[in-house]
Amino acid sequence: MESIKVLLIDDEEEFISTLLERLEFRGIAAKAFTTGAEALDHLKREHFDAVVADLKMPGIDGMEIKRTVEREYPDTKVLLVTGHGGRESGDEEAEFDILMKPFGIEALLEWIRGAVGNP
Amino acid sequence: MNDGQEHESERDLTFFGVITTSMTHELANVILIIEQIGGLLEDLLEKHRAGQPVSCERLSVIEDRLSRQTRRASTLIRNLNRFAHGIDQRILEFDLNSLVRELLGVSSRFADSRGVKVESLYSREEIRMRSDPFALQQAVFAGLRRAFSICGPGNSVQVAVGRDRSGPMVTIQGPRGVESSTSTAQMDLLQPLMTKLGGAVSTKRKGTDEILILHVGAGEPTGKSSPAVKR
Repeated sequence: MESIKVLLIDDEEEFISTLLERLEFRGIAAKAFTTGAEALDHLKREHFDAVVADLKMPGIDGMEIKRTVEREYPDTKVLLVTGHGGRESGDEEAEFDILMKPFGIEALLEWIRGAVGNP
Repeated sequence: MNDGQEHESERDLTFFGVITTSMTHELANVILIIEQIGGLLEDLLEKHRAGQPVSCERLSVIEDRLSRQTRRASTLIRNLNRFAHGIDQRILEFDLNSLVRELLGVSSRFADSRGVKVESLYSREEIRMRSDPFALQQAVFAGLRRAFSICGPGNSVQVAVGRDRSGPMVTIQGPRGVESSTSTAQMDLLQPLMTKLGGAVSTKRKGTDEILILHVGAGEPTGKSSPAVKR
């Protein structure tokens, strides 16, 4: 059975590289990028079932990634993660999945399974 | 407390809040990474218990990551502590190079989050002055935020500490871009700060760059003074 493919985007390199290893332990094929630009560029060449992106990043932020992915790759699910205390003004009307940092690996897996299905 | 003093206190408090919020956010990121590293070690332990080999190389890489993050947290806490002590005594004798170096240390996250690289150039000799370091840091920080706002992501800003005929100065150079409400607000913040410091702010163009020049005043700023302490 083909494993779930997840694209991780966060400017904290050691955070996503560690998360990537932990997801791989659980049978999820993950790739990680530290900028939204690199990640969106990679998405043109490889399909992912889900994208997990940090909400606040320099350059292309999580919200912009979400909009682009939903427009260009409607089959790919997007989860935003943040350590900044939740939604900000202007986000109230937007509907999106968000996970607050710090989060356990099980919370992330639960979202992935819910959004994409079991591996 | 009159209106002017009240305004100054509010401005001081805002600066203090902005810097400490930024640093504690970064500290939270470090803790988050350490938590994930701990989780990865648990995963490897489970693997080992299940009879699968775990290589020393892999453990060594994890140990490196842990050490790096611990050092990062330690630097953050040291900088935060030094910054917090900056308001213990308002008038001090200090070296302008050290003051700007410390400010860049506590405000680096602002540059990172805006995708701007900060390059610094310090004078070879100490530039000792007696002034209000907390107000001076606010002035340089306002100048930096103005430069970040104008130049935009992907660019570099150069901060230089030196001295000319008018006295000690800090210059902030970056690509000239479009003024925004943020850059204008920072300039509005700068003017009274420089007056308080007995200094002056000016700008000049150099090619496609703009240079913000802060003549930081060599003498005592207006306001109460207290005995000099070297830092």
